[in-house]
Amino acid sequence: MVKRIVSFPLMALALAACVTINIYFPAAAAEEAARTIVRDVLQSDQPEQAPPAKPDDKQSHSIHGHPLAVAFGVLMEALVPAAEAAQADININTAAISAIRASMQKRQSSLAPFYQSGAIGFDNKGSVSLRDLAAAPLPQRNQVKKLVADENADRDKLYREIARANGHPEWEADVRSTFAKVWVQEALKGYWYQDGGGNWKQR
Amino acid sequence: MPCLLLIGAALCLPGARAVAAIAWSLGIEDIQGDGWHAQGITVSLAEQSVDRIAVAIHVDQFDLPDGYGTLRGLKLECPAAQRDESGWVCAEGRLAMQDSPLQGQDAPWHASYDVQGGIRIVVPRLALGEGGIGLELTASNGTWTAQLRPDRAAVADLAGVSPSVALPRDWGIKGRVSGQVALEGMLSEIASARADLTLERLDYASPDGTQAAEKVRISTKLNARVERGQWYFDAQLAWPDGALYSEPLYVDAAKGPLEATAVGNWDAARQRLVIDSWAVRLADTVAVFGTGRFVGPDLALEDLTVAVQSDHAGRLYQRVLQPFMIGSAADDMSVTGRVGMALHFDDKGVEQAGLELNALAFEDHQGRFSLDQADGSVAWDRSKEVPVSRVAVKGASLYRIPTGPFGVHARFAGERIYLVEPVVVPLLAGEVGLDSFELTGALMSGGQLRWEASASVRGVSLEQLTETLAWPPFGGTVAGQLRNMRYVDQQFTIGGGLQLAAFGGEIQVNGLSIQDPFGSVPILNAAATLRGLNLEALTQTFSFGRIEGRINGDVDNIQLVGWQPDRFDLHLYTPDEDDSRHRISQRAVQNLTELGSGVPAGLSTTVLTVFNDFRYDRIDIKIELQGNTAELDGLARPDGGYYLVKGAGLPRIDVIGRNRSVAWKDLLKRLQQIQVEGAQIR
Repeated sequence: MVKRIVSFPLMALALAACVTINIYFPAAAAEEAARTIVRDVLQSDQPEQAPPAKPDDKQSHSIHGHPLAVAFGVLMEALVPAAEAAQADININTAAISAIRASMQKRQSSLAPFYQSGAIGFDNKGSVSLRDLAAAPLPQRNQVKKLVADENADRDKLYREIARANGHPEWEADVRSTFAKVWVQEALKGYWYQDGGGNWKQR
Repeated sequence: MPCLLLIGAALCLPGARAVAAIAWSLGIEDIQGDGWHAQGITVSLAEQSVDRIAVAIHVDQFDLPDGYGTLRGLKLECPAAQRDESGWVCAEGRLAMQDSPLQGQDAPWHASYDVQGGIRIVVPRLALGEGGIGLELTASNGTWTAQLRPDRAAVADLAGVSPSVALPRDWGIKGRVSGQVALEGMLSEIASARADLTLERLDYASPDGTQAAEKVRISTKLNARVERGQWYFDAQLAWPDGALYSEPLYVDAAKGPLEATAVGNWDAARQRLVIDSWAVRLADTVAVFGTGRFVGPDLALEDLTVAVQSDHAGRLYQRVLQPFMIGSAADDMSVTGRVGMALHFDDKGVEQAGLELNALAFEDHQGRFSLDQADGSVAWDRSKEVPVSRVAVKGASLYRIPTGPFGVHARFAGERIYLVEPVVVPLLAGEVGLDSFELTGALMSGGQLRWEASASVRGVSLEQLTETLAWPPFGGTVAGQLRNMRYVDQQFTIGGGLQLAAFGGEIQVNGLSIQDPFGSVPILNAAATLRGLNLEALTQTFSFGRIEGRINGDVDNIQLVGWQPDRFDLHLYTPDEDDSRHRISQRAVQNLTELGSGVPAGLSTTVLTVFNDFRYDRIDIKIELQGNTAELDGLARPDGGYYLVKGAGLPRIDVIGRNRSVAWKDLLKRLQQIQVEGAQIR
């Protein structure tokens, strides 16, 4: 009986200790990685701007419950293997990502005049959209469309591959939205981009 | 039934100096008929002599029928109508309008009336923007003719005259029309129509950029006549200058003008349009011709034949087809040869199709695929049995791996395409046999696209394959059965596997799949097992330094991205049952050591240099590549290191690894730097 009385609170304590170790999407690291790639593609000569550090959003641990349970949780957390508790990072150095970056870089010089003319621009979904096809001379309109189709195919692969290479295919949408923001931030002077409401603006 | 309200008439006697002359005027307040309405009408006649009168008709407002607009302040005057033997002639009339659908007018006219009832009215030029339009009307005994002669009349102005023509207002349409339209009829019926018009400097641009024209010149000719209630027509169109973009097509006549013709008849009562022949020719590119029958108020297709002939398949691809392929693997090719195609449509869609290929060749500019020369014909019918389609191909290539000539004999029936006999493709001294292939759902709308194939590979030379792919050359052959090959959602998967007979052993490749094979970054997944490979042959091929013995290997989770290794788990090991001679040369030891540690083994400075080779017990190499990093391992040692080569006998030499993690690019660099006997691994 005594044994039962003692063991019950211990069991309850173990059950009440809510230990949550969530590896959230590492937004700051992803933004830094996106900026590296975007600048690389756009060959931006703008001065490097350090992205705002947001260490908190790399990893989040939340612990709830009775103080004893919290203490138990903290203890458990300390025992979690280092690899699991390590802050998530973004790896962009894979063969696939390099191949996609090279492909996008190669295309950029062809796209640039159309970004400048306003025929195309960065949309708010991380892709390139036709903004004003009339801004492209007639003989080049299909060329613009092909460039946009190829660029978007590469961008889709890039976002998917970054998520996959980091072991979280489910991050693809987060990677895309991060890039959508960075493409706009890094757009060169004269380039057009879509704001959050879908309105086109010129950098 | 016209009705009128007569408000007054006056008969005036002129002054004393013209006693014989009579002048009268008639005022009508309002008169209307079917769809038209005139107000404030005054008709005045003044006799100037026995054979000469002055006539003036004034209408305050005249609403034209069918919404054609309103004429205001209309004045039709003839100050001197002269009578002669044949009738009356007005040589110098004047037509004025304050406002009209053709803008305000002040134009001369002349007319005649003969005693047999013939009337001719000519208005040489009504103003229309910066251009004009001339009119000529004749009538006699119930028959009539009307001619309109636009002279550089603006398209938008002309279209504005007709309520049934609604041009997009925001397209900025510019262009001028010149030529002639002639109509003939009897009473209220039109009997024939002729038109010879030229449209020049046509420019427009839709706001979304999907439709545009620049400096287009088009000439049209139309002859039409009515017989037994049917219109018979013969139309021609020539487009010799200018460029037009209609998404996704861009046609610049400077690169080859366009001509079109159509001959047919229109039965208005039965609502039936029959085109006996039609043709569209894009010079030096393609000719499309055929017949057609359309019925009903919406002119629904009842029967249509389309024949396409191009002796310039390259231009056909570039000017017409490529824009529709943008975004696919086929949007960046060079094409040569000749093609012909015939299609027959009925009210259910395509009923029959035929394709003729003559020396057709194409090559992907990114080097992914090519077809050297294809000749043959393809026939398809929706429901009937058709002859076997035969296409002979002189050669092809896939990722620069060339094939020899081969023929395809297939039957296209309903929604199925299937081989009637295997396709044998000579490949690198061996052959690939496409034993079966069946495609469904591609040829009829609504079907679900599926295909399955099986193939066998026989005697393909590894030596030629490695040479083609610029890999280290090695001998042997590839054979295998590829079953259940599918291509779904840009993923090419293969059941079965490939067996490579090489280096005295066997390599089995399984679980092959390629995602997006023609995309910019194809992803290949596979697994492989290596059994009983002769290390002596292998190491001599790779000039690695001689190793004798047998080796097994397991390569799991192979993933090539853009044909570059992105991931694999490799384990090479001496088979337990291997009782062959185990020797490893000094140079091989040195290379393995360098590979494992990145530093030379330094054997040359030791007494071991007197030995050419050493005995070994086991080889065990594990490389786990993930992205950028390769994890190395081997046979575990108690001290934390691992054997790559565990020696045996005396003098004993072990190759021991201690670094477990190495950057893949460094490992590659080490492989590339291995220089043995003058050879270099690339």
